[in-house]
Amino acid sequence: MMLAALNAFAQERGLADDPLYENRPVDFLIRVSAKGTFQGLESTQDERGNGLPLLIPRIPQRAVNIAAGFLVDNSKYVLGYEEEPAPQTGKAGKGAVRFAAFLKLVREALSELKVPELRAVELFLASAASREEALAERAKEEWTGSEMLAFAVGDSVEPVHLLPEVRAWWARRGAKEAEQGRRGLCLVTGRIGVLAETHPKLKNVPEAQRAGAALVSFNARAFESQGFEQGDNAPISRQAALGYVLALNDLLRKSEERRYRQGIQAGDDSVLVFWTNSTAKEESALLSWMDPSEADLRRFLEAPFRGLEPGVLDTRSFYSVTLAGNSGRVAVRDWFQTSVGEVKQNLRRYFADLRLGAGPAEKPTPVWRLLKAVEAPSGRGLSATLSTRMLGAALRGQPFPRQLLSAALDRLQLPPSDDKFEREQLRLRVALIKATLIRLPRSGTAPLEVSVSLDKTNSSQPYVLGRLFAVLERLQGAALGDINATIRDRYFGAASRSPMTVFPRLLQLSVHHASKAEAERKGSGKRLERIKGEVMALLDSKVFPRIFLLEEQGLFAVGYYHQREDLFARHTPSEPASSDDEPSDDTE
Amino acid sequence: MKTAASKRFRVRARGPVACFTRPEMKAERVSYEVMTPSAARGVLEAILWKPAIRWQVHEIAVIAPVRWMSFRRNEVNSRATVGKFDYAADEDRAQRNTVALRDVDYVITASFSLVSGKAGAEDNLRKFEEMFERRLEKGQYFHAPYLGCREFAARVEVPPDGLTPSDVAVERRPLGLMFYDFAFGDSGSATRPLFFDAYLDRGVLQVPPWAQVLERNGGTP
Repeated sequence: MMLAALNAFAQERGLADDPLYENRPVDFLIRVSAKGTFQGLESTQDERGNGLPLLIPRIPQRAVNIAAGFLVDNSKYVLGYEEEPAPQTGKAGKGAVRFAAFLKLVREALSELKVPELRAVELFLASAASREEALAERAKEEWTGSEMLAFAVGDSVEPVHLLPEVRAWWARRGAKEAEQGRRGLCLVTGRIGVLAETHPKLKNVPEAQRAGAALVSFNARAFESQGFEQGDNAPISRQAALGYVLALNDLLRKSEERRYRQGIQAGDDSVLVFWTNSTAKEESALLSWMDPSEADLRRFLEAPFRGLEPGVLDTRSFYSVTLAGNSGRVAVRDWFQTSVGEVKQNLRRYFADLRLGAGPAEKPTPVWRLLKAVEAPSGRGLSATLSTRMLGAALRGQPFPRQLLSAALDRLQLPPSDDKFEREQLRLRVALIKATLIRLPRSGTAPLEVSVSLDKTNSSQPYVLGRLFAVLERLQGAALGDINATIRDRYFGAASRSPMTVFPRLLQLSVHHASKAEAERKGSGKRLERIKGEVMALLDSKVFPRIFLLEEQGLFAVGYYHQREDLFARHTPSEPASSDDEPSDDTE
Repeated sequence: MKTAASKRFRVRARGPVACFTRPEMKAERVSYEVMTPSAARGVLEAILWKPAIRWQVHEIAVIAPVRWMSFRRNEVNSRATVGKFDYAADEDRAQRNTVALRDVDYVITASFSLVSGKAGAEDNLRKFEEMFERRLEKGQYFHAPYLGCREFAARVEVPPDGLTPSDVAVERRPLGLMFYDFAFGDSGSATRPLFFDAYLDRGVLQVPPWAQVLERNGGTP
């Protein structure tokens, strides 16, 4: 299904229109005279050093094998360039073998065609001196072996490989080659076709080999069965194999501002790519929601955060696959298919679930930022499967992995590593906790009510105790000012896990804090004492719960955050103007 | 060749993990969404198989909603060879990912027919029908029935009344081309995989008959 959808995507967007040609940047044109003498090396690079994109005969699949392109290839093939001339005697260097393969293809064409330009190229190639001359055009250090070279003859602007007769020959040869090979039912298209023995490679998958890695491959004996070898294990036509690879490579391609054109990095070794059978415009809109770039964020900040346009449910298909590199192979970590409308709804819900605090709209929080906020301070990152599951859950509208809840709670207990990000980090962590709680699988037990901002009527004990803790912390802050280890640093974890052991002591302490605060900054102590009283009134009894489960600890953290933000919000604007005149200002 | 078929049996197979590996995603396994006919045949053959009978799966009802999980394991690169059992996954290993199904529950409907040439004079349908019923009832099997991979054991039983497929509401959901079974061929001819156009019809995978699938795959080679 996945390969079929990818293949269909490639057909729809015209990526696989021409199996014989591809668009690739060409760096230099080698100009030769009609007699085959070298005339010059014309750079086609722009000022940034990028070659001119040109339609060229598709370069064959290469790993360690030697396979030459037709009339266009890199300097290793066209000129036999070698970084280090082979020292071993008697053996032809790899450069010579590559060059021979390149020349062979040109001669093959020449044996059937009477094209003077082709003749000229052959004459040039046949002469070692001319090739040396071409290599001497640039300084030795400048050659890398990867620059793409094409040919032009005389004053013609048209490169040789694009001459009509040459193209016709290449097409004939391609058709002939396509006929060779075993035919069978293709499990992607469902039609009978010539089956691929090996598949083209995917580029740009993280943790995979630089040269590319294959999604469909059978590179060890244990992967094969029933005596089949290579592609026969999974009969896929050459055309479909090319189609799905072109589609994935297009999605994984680097763009100007993004690492993957249409993919989101999930963890260290995997990337989620998605596509739709909607329009490219729609896709880029979805992308900017899921994983906003800097420019997108700026735009979001300028325009108020509105949410994806609601209304009509878009029934067009949405596909997403998470790929992970495993050196020579690419593994699928996750794959699903739904409708565009469904995904939009899920994304809206994702952002809604994350909303925290009554403040103005904040910028959207992409999944990777959430995950960053809860990863261990060493920066080792979370396990790749966790981020894959989290991304999947966000797009599918499913519960978040429970593991995240404990990770976020663990992080809350640590003192912040950097004060600058503390508030933001706290917000992200608590937002994640809140969203996880809201999405808990509802299995009979009473659903957890978690609101966006402070809910004074919520009498759920963990929530109330979380609020109480925030008030106590504030009291301490008002009394003692900046101190090294606040009660949050010391007791947050214990208070949220086993309130009974901590709260009685904290309450005792708070009495002293209140009087000290009152003495130093008139009003603040009284005010906080009153809030403390309000919160305490919501407690069931004077006995604190012995232990809180993971979900309850989450709720405790949310209560803490809500109350803390509420205290901040109330305090900050009124502090400079009215520190002493209105201790009973609490108008809602 | 039309042979008489046995009555249709219903068998419930369920388990915590299942992986019906797609052939194209075999190195890094990804499961089909639904049990394949060949996996269903494997479950039935675990309970009763004789050279004289051939199973034909008709329907596979998907009782539990499709849920996924994924994990990585160290596996060996080379195949086991006869007479050599001492290979270890820490010497010749490949770390492979598996995207599997979890908490699966299926009801397989199938029948069998006698294979001409293999069935002796004393064999008849009724005999094997009763054998199968007895064995299923008692929980007997030749080898442990499994869900796609040997390590994912299945619980097999007579389905209780009142099981309904998970998405009865969806009329026809295409699943793409799915692996049907291997055509092992007669002696001498090569084994080849067969595929069919799979779809879920109100939560039930309809499995076409052998001859129709062979036709779809370009007939007998």
